[in-house]
Amino acid sequence: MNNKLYVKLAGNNLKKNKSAFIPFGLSCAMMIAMFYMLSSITGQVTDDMFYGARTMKTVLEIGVRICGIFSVAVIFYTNNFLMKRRTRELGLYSILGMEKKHIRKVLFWESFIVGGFSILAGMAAGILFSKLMFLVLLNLLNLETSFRFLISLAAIKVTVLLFIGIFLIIILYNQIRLFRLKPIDLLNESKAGEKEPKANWFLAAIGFICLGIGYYIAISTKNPIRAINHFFFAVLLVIAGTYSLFISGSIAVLKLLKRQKNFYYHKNHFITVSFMTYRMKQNAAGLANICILSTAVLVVLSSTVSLYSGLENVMRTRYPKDVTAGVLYMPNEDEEENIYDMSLLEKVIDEQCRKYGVEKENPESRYSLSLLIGFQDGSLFPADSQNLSSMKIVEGWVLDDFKRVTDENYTLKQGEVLWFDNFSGGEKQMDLLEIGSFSARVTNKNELSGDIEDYFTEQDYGIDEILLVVPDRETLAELSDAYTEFVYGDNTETVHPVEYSYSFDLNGDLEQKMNFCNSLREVLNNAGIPHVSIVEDIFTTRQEILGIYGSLFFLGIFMGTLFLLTTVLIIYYKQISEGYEDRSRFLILQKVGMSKGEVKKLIHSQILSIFFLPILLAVIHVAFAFPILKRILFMLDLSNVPLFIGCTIGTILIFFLVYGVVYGVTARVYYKLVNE
Amino acid sequence: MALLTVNNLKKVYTTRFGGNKVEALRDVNFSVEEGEYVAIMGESGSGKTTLLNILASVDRPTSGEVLLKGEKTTSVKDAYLAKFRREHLGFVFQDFNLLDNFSVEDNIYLPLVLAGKKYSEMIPKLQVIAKKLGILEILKKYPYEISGGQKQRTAVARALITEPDILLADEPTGALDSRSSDDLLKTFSHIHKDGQTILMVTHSVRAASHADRVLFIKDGEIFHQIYRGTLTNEEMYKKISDSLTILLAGGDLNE
Repeated sequence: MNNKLYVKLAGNNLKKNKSAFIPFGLSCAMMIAMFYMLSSITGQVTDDMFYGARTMKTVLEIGVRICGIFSVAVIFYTNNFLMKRRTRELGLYSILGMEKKHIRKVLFWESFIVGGFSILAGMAAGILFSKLMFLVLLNLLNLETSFRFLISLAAIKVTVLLFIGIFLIIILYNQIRLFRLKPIDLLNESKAGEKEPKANWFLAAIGFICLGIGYYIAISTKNPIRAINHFFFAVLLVIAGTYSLFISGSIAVLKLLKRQKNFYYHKNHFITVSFMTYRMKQNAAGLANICILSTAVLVVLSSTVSLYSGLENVMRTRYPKDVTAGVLYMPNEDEEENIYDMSLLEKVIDEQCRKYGVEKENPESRYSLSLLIGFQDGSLFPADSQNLSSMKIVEGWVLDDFKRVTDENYTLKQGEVLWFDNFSGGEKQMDLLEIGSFSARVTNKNELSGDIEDYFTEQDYGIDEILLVVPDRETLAELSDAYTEFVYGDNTETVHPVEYSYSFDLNGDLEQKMNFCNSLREVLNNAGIPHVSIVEDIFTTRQEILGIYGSLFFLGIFMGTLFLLTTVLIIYYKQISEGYEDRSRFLILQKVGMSKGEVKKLIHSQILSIFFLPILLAVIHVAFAFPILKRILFMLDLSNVPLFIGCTIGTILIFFLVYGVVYGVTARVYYKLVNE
Repeated sequence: MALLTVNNLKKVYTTRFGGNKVEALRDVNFSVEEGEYVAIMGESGSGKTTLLNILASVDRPTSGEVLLKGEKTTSVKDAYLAKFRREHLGFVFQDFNLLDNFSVEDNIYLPLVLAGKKYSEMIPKLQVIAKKLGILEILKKYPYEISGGQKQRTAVARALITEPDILLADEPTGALDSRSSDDLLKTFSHIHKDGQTILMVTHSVRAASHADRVLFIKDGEIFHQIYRGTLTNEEMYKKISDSLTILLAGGDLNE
C-alpha cells in the first residue's frame, strides 16, 4: 500500500467521525491562536512603553506559561477521549486484514491532518486578531493607540514549535497505545452489564458536612488576613465536598428518590432517575471537575473585571487627594522649635504650582500619629505579633484639625483627651488613659460617626480603631515619645513620630502634573523644610496600578475564555460518548411504546441536568464565596460593593449564555446519534 | 368477527435513487381469531419481517389495511401510534430488548409507567404475571444477572402486563438454547390456554409446531396454511416439516 491510500483512509476516517474531530480541531486552533496572541503581545510590551509596563510584562509572561500548560493538558485529554472511542473501529481494520503498522500509518496521517489544519488555522486567526487584541489591551490601559504592532516572528516560532511538539507527542502516544492493544481487545466491546452503583451514604454525608463547614467559614470570616489559613482550608473543604457530593451524594439522592415508589414509578421520573443513576457513576468526577473549573472562571473573571472597572474607586480610597506631602514633627530631636513653621510648606508648594502652570484645589492639612497598642481586660501592653487579635490601632489627632473636619465644638484642657472608637468592649470603661509616662483624663467617649468616619477605613478589614483627640501638637509629640518608651524601653530616638501631612488636588495638563510631582520632593528639601517624609501622588500610582489591573483583566478574559472552552469541550465529548451507549436503550424504549416526542423530551431533560447541575453548584459556590471575596477586594481598596455584585452577575450571565449555546449544539448532536 | 384482519396488504420498497422497486409484500390476506395462536413461517427475504413490522405499526403499508378489533391500525395518526401500540399490542423480540439499567421488576413495569398507571394498580398485576411466568424469585435482579431464558420470560411478562389484544413475537426462541426454548414455548402454550391471542414469526419448526395454525409466506404472499385440528405437537411438527420441504423444493402444494 502506498502513502496516498493511507492519506485517503485517514481523510475518510476524519470525515466519518466529524462530530468528534471538528470540535477537536477547532478548539486546538483556538488554543493555538490564543497562545500566539498572548505571546506576541507580551513580546511587544517594552519596559519603557509606559510607567508600570515592567509589572505588566511579568504578569503577561506568567499568563503565557499558564496558557501553554493548559493547552497541553486539554489537547491530551481530548485526544485520549477520541482514541478510546475508536478502539472498535481500529479493531475492524485489523479484522479486515490491516496490520498494526498499517493502522499506525493511518493514525499518523489522521493526527498529521488535524494537527496541520489546527496550526495553520490557529496561526492565521492569531495573526489576524493579535493586532485587535493589542489595541484592546492598550485601550484597557488608557494608552494612546499609536504604538506600532508588528507580526512577531519570534512568537510565531515559539507557537508553531510548541504545538508541533504537542502533536508529535500525541502521535507517539497513540502509536504506543496501539502497540499495547491486542487484536481481540480491538474488536471486543464491553457488553457485560454494569452493576448498579451503590450509594455510599457515609461519603455523601461527609461531602455535605465538608461543604457546610466550608461555606460557614467563607461566610463567617470577618478578617481574611487573620484567617488566611482558614480561607484556604475552606477552599479545600469545598473542593472535597464537591467531589464527594457528585460521586456519592448524587447517587444517594437518586436512591432516595427510587425508594419513594409513588414518585419513582411515574412517567416523568421513572426513566430519568434510573438513567441518571448510571450516568452519575460514570461522570461524577468529570462533573465535579467542571463545577470547580467553572467556579474558578467565575471568581477570576468577576474579581478582575471588578478590580479593573473599580480602579478609580480604588485610587480614591487609597489617595483621597491627588498629592500628599508629609513632614515629620519631632520637636525632641531638634533644638529650634521655630523650624516647624508649616506655612513654609504651603508657600513652597504654591510656588511650585505657579512654576508648572497647575492649579491647587481643596487643600487639607493635619497632624496625626498612628500607634498599635494591645488592650486586654482594661490594661494596656506593647504590640507584639503574638496577640494580634487584641491589638487596636490608636490614632492621635489635634483638636483644631478635628474641629475643622467635624464642625463640632469641643473644648479640651491640658491633660484631657477625647475618645472615639468603632467597637464595643470593656476598654470603653477606661476613664484615665495611661500609655507609659503619658496620662490623660478621658472627657468624652463616642462612636466614630459622621464625616470623621471616612478617615478610618480600617474597620472594613475588621480591625478595631480608637481616635484620640489631644489639645495641641506638642501633646501629640509627648504621646509619641511616651509610646516609644513604653514599647522599646529607654530609647531617645523617636520611632513613631507625629506626621504633618498636606494634601490637595491638582488641576491642569497631565504631563505638567506629573512633572510637578516628580520634582516636588527635591524642591521641598531644597527649601530647607526638615524631615520631609512622604511625597506621593495619584498620577504615577494610577498608571502603575492600571498596568497591573489592566493586564490582570486582560488575562482574566483570556484565561476565562480558555477555561470555558475546556469546560465546554469536556462536556460535549462526554455527551456524545454517552450518545453511543444510550442509543440501544432509546431504541428499546421506542419499541416498548415510547413515542419519538417523548424520547426527545427525555433526552433534553437528561442533558439539561447533566449540563446545568455543575454550573448551578458553581453559582452556589460563588454566592457563598462572595462575602470573603468582597473582603479581599476591600483589602485591595475596592469598596464598591454594587459594582462587584454587578460584575459577578454579569459574568455568570455571560457564562450561562455561552453554556446555553453549547448545550443546544450538544443536544442536537446527541439526538442525532441516538436516532440514527 | 376476527380480532385481527389483514386485507390486500402490499408493501413496495423503492431503492434510494428511485430506480428499482422491490415488492416485499404482494397481496397478503389473513385473519386471526380471538384466542388463536398463529405462527408465520418463511425463509429470509420472504417478507415476514415486513409483515410483522406493519402489524406492529412500526412500518406503513403501500396499500391495503390492517384491522384490529375492527379499527384500522394503518390509519392511526403518528402522534397516537406509541399510545396505540402500548395499549393494544405486546411485543417479544429475539434479543429480549431489556434495559440493562432497570431491574427485572422495573423492566416489567416500564409499559405501565409509560401509560401513566398508578403504582398501587401496578403491584397486583406484576404479582399475577410473575407467578405465571415463574420469575417471582428474580424480580429484584438485573438483566446481567439472569439467564437467557429468564430474560425472555421477563420480556414476555413486560409484553403481557398491559393485557394487550394480541401478543406479537418475533423469533422469540432465536437466541435461546433448546431447553430454554422448550420452556418458553410451554409458557406460550400456557398463556394461550388462558385466552391470550398470539402471533409468532419464526424460523423454527419446533416453535411453530406449538401453534394452532401455521401460515407459510413466500415471495410476499401467504402461500399455504396448516391447521392443527386434533394433531399433537409431534404430528404437527411432522406436517410442518413436510410442507417446508415442498416449499423449499419450489413446488406447488396443489399439484
